[in-house]
Amino acid sequence: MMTPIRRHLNPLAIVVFWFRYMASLFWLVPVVLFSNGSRTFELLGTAGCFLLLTIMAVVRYWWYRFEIGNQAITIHSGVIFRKQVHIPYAKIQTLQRQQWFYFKPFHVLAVSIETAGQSHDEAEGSLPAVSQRVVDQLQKLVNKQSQDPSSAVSNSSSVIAAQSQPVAEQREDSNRSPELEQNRSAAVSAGEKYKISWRDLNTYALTSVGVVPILLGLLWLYSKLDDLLPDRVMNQAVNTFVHYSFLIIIAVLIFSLLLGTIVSYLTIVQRYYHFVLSKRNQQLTTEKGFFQRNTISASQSRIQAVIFRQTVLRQLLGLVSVQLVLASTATKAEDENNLVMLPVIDRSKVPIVHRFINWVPTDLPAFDPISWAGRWRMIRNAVWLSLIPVVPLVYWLRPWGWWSLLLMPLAVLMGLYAGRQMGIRQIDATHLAIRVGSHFQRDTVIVAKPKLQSVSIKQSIWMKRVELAHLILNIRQGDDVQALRVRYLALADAEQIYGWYRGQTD
Amino acid sequence: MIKGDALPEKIKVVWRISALGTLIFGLLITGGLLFAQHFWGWWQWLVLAALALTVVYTLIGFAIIPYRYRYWRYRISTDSVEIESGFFFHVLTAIPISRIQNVTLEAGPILQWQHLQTVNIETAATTHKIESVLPVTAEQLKEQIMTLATGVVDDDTD
Repeated sequence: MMTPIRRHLNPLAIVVFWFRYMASLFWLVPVVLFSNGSRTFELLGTAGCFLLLTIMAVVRYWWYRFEIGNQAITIHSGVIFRKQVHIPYAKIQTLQRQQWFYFKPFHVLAVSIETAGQSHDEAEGSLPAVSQRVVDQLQKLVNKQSQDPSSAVSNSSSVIAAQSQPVAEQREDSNRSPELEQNRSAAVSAGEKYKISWRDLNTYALTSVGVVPILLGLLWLYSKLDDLLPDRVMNQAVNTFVHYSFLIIIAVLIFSLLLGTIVSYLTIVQRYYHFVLSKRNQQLTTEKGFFQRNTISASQSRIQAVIFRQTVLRQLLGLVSVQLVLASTATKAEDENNLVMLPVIDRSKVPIVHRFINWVPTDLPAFDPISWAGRWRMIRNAVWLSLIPVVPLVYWLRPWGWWSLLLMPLAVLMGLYAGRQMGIRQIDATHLAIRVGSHFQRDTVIVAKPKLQSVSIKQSIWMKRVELAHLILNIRQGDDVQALRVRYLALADAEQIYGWYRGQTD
Repeated sequence: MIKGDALPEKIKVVWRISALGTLIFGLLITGGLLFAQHFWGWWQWLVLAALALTVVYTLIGFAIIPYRYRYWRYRISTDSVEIESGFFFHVLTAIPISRIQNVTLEAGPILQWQHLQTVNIETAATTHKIESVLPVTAEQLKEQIMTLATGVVDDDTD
């Protein structure tokens, strides 16, 4: 493999391209169905379209080529506008493999390669259909890079720590992985594996189902219908709907809510079906999905932060969801753009995380709460915010609007909750633990100093008197920034962390 | 307050000009509304509100210039850049040099006329701005940051 050869994708890519073109022409279907043209014309047109799409797909396939070099992969694509992407393995953040069930018999997968470059919602490199052999080769090269000590990995201490794990923990069947043989030099390959149980998956799906996403889904469906159906049909449907009595509307609403709940439950079960997390050679890999097997792998050193997420519901049930913040958009379909590392585990099983990522503490750290002066301000702010809808509702919607006053005790509760969760502490020389709560959900974030891009202390003139300040820690998430805001912290504490971050004193 | 450098004195002129700009813009809007009131019978309070807003906004703009200047500080040390600003809303930011991805210098027409430049410091996640520096300082700063940034191992998103 000294001189990289230009290779084509698997011929099944033609099918992939064909369906993609087809999907982009889907809006034509109603036009054809509702038009008054003659049958023969329609048939001819459709056949012509199919032929044209086939030719386009074949041409695109022919011009889509890639080279797997020693240091980088190069992808050539495009017919009229030629494009050439060059990605060094050392810069790859995540490698994502997707395989639909109908491609499984052919051992063909789609691969997306993501770097930290900001190419907005699009993978820097993608191979829509390649054979398993090619994927393995690519993965091997990427793994080699992430192990190479010269490849600018800052927390090299973690690499050493991982290698000192006992041989007994090596649970991988080594005959299945040729790269393992190659990497004998890395004294022990610390293999770890976590497989989700059916019970955990079920719990995860049940505790994830929220009303808001369902309503959004219905709204989306409505807008889609609005687009697809002609106005006349839509108006008629809405009119008949309005004519039914109030009761039926309520029944329909409850029914659609139920349906939405079931659908979103099934969606989650489908998405995280047979979830497997594994670690090998500093590479973390999650694998999941029923219809489409989705495998994402990232080097341990690419993890920007680890989040332990608990909604109030999960908190009450003693459950935690663990997520990874990555500088890649491969995870945009998951929980708030983070890679789900462990969908849901029992609070007592948190030490598992340490086995996969050794700089994460073996248990959720405890925090000193912020002062009551700060907590009172959190409550006050929540109440102020609730006044924005409450005041106009009370003023203009006389009898019914009064119900909105119920938002105020809710706001007090929310402020109380957020204030109680807020906290920050240093867990060792290079790691911070931060806990923030909002909207009845709390996140415990573990982050390493090298991944903090910048840190700010904010203080308004009114906070000066009581010596409180906000501490804002910025980390990279996906293509964007995630600001961790520890609010109304004692100024001295904020300054201490700030000083630690700056790394020197005057 | 950190023991850093203040912005160049000339930035006050730029701020005054931009406050004047808001005044002109506000007066134009007010004029437009007056026109609309006269010919199409729009509400009169709209005109008064626009005028009041313009006056108040401009006055505040002019009034806070000394404070803005007094509380703006930046400091570039061997391993970090620190930026501080604001009296009523005080913000202090630290950016380690090793996190800096690129530095951009820019200047609009007013800044060019005053021979000033804005420095934008970008990390993998955030962008920070030093509102204005003299061209000499800008060049020096760029050099310093770039040499420091190339000298250290990049440990940002990697």
